[in-house]
Amino acid sequence: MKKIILLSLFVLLQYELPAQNGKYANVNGAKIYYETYGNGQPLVMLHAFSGSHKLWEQWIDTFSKEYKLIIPDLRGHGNSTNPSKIFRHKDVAQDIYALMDNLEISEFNAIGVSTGAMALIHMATMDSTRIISMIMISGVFYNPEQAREFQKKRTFESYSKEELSWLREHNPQGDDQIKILTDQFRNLAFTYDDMNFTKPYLTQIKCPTLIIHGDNDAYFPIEIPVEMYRAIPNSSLWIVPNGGHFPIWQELWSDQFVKVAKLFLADKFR
Amino acid sequence: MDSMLIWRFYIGEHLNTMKVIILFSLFILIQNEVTAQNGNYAYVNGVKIYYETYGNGPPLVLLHPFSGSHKLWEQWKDSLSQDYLLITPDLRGHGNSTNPSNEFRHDDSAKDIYALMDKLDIKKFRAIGVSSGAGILIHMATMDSTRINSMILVGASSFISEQEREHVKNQTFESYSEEDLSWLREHSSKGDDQIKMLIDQFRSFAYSYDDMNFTPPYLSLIKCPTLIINGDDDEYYPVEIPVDMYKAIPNSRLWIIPKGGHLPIWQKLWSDQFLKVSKQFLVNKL
Repeated sequence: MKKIILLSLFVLLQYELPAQNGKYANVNGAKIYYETYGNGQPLVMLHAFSGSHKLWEQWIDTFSKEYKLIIPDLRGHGNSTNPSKIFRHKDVAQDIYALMDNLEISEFNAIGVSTGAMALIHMATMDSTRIISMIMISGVFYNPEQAREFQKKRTFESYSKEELSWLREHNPQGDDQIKILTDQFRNLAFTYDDMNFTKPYLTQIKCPTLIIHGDNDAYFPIEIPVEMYRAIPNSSLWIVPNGGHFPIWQELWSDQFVKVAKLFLADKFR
Repeated sequence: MDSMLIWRFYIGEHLNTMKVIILFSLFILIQNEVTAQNGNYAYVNGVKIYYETYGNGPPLVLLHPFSGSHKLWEQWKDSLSQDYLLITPDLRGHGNSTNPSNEFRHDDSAKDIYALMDKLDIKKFRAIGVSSGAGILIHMATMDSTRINSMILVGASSFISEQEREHVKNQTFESYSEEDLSWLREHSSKGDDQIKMLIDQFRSFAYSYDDMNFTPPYLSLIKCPTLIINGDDDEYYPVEIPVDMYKAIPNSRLWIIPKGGHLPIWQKLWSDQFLKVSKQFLVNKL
């Protein structure tokens, strides 16, 4: 009996591991968890603050047919660690470059949402040679007042049941992890030197850039993506009607997103 | 012998049947033509407005852009007429419609469309307008906030931009390419004189200030749900214009199409999505 249970457990574990494709990389003092899928040109997918690699689940199958997907948990998120207990988008940007170095990937495409998109702004301005093309969803180049007001009020106690269960799904290291993330999120309200790009600075982004934003984003008003579109030389702007902070996760838009993203990443978007 | 007679009789009868079948098919073909066109004229404000109607359901008016015609809606006609009574007019001076004034103002056209709706006994309706068609809808929705249930504005602007003025002021019949002309001829059924008149009117947009002239407070009078669709690459209307309109119109949604030009919904990548999104929007589910 014991043997059978052990064997089944073993089989289950075996099954778990390759399905997850999960690995760790030690970079900049943090342990970064990442999953990889498929083959082809590398495509990095960066999730939003307090989320994890799981945010991209629904598109893994379709994108991994054409790309080698690299889907990390940002520092402190998901299975990744963050001993510094401080969250700066710039640090995340350095983590991702270091992860790419570890994987011996020189050039890559990237998709980022919210915090993931903001890490991409850092990456593309730090080094204009490594990102082939990038899609920024709900990103901003500075943290506006609306968002700060919201961030200020965030405490562990303020979460609804649904929010907590979402947070726990993405952050398996327990409620202490969620509490740290919440503190870091609240801290964004008082941070000025991290997401702080003037328009001339944004012109340093040289890769083709697709900016996607919801017209109804409660934190980041559409004037910001419009300004970004004006400042980034090789950019296109997609505003999604009645779109919130995760505009293309809606059923009406997700297929169109895949269609447009694939054309864009293949440099066939005209 | 008997069988031979019967056979000849049969042939004779069959020939008659053949004749009847051929005549009947011709009749059906003609009937089909007429119902396929569904064309009618309405006399309003001193002009003769041509319009076509299709389908059944709540009325949905489709307004084409300047120098186009009802024919522009061809690809979505079948799908939209399943849910709506489509009314696709030719704007004054366009297609089969007349315009004795030789002048084109969006506010005149707005009155034409309201008068056409009156003739058809239609009180309330939904509407989609492209470019000039959208400009007309802005006039209609600010003139009377009670008759439009919801509307979609494509390639719209609340004023004539500098870019557009620059573009139109040098337009002449002679400046058009063969390709442009064949497009214009397809839509303007009354010949090159009609096209020349439209080009003169188009050129005069460069000096028109009091027709398309909506400040944000004026736009705030628009009460119906409004979906604004523009291209990020529109050569006439930079995205700041639709963004300002979105901010000013209370019950509005904004869709900016990446790599979208002035008429982005006809771009292959987006036309199906346009239909999908429009259908949801028109039933208040967007």
